[in-house]
Amino acid sequence: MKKRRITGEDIFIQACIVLMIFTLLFTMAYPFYHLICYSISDPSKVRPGFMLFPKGLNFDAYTSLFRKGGLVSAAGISVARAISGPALMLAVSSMAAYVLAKRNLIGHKFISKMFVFTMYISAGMIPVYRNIYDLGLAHSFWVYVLPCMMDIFSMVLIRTYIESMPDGLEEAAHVDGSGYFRTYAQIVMPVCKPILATVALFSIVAQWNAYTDTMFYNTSDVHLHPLSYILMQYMKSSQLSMEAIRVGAGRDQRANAQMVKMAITVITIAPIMCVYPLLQKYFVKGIMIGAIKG
Amino acid sequence: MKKNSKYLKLREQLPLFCMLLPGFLSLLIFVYWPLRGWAMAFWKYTPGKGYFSGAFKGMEYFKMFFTTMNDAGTVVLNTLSINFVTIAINLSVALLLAMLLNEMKNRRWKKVMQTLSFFPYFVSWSITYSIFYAFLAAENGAINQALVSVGLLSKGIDFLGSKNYAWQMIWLSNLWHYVGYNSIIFLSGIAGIDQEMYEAAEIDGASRIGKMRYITLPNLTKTLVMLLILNSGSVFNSSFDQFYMFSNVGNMTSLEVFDMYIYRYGMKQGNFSYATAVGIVKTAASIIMLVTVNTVAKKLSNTSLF
Repeated sequence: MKKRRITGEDIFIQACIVLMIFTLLFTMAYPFYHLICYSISDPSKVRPGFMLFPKGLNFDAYTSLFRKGGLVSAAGISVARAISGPALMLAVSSMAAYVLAKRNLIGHKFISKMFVFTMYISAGMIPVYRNIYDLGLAHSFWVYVLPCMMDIFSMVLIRTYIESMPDGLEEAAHVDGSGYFRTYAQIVMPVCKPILATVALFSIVAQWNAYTDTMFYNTSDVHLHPLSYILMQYMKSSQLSMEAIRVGAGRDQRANAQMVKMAITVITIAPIMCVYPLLQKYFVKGIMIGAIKG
Repeated sequence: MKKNSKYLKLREQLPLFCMLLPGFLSLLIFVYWPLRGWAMAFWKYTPGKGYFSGAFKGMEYFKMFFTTMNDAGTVVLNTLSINFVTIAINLSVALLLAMLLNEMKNRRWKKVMQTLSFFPYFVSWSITYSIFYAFLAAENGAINQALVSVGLLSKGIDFLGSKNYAWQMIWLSNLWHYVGYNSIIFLSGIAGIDQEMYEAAEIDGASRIGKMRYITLPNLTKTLVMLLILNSGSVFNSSFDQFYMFSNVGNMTSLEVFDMYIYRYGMKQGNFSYATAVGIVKTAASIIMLVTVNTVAKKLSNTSLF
């Protein structure tokens, strides 16, 4: 292949790419860096505006958050949600996926339709809300994990994966006298690991980020508040007190309130930030499979 | 004989049905059972009493939404304008991003950029709002502050608290949140294009932009149509998390979409019957939309949701 000369067109495309790189760096990377810098700056030195480095070093925002209490318990709830929710969801959805991958199941067509139909229909916000109260699930941890234990989208992804497996694998197990459940647990699931990882990761992130369920069902149960809910409260209270801040507080106090908000944001986002680069390829794979399916 | 074999098959498949049971029950309890709550829209509902025990109201609550309260127009207009513009912006920017990423020769940088652009998808709406607040708040926002100190503005613009900017904020935050996600779908579409087409074009002396224009772009139409269908099917839905974070006293009226309206009347004011009626209107509209879009798509390109 002969080397091409660099043309004006190449320069134009290269310029566009450079522009894109700077835009992405500024909009997708810098905001997080800005939050971290701001939250660890010295409140007396910090000025609103862009910054490249923290101004001074001061962890007051973090210590005051921890001193107020509740944060450790909230982190505990977040972690508990992010582990138990996806675990239960994986167990229930993957079993359903395994069964629905069997085309010779009695009533397969009807059952399968009944499952997939729920993707498009929902009773709506209020009936679902009242239903949770009717079931007595409000004011408990269960409301975080039970309603989402059957996730149709995950089920469809896992089922597609199982269907793409060679038939011989299962048949061999059956010849050896393995029952359905044992085949599922010992033969099929280990092969499905990649898709299970993808689905689990999406579910973990969703659990970590959720705050509306707490808002609807567990507002009064402080010991059940997750981190994301606490963050929401901080951000919402800022809207209410904006007027008060504008009128009363001095610059230091204002900077302080701002820093606490940024600190709680950093705390909430840190785990995702740490895990994300390592697991990114699973997310990407999941979206591609989902896109093909969808 | 035949009956017998069916019985045998059923007995043989019994373990399978046991394995299906947890998921099936979960759907029954959490998706199908709440549907009885639609009765709230027709019988006056008081919490703690049965759904059918109140006074029968017929279509009264529906009439209220369309005539007495006269809110249907505003709510539908808000929901549709916010969502359709979101779809247009999101898909076109994601398409552009995917094509530019595809032109990047340095694979390492390409990967870094892809990773960066995808990250906001995993960030919750409260964090997204927190970031918008850090940059766009009237008093302390970095961007406002920078503009003021340069002298372009005398006073920070209240992007987050003014109803003149409410829609723009939703469009912008949606773009920020989803652009990486959508561009990955486009990139997987690009990866599926036959490389020989590019080679043939090269022999014919096609330029880089020519190749983008006449090979990459036409080959992405199928992906684009698929994304359009997927997105327009849910055009009456809004992310409640997002709207709840971004709405406040100042911009509430501009952000009154179906979900916020139902939340306000149902959860906040406890008018469950009215809110349920509005919810049913929304579901009906969604289903009509979904079926329409699906039929049109089938006619146009043989892509279908179901």
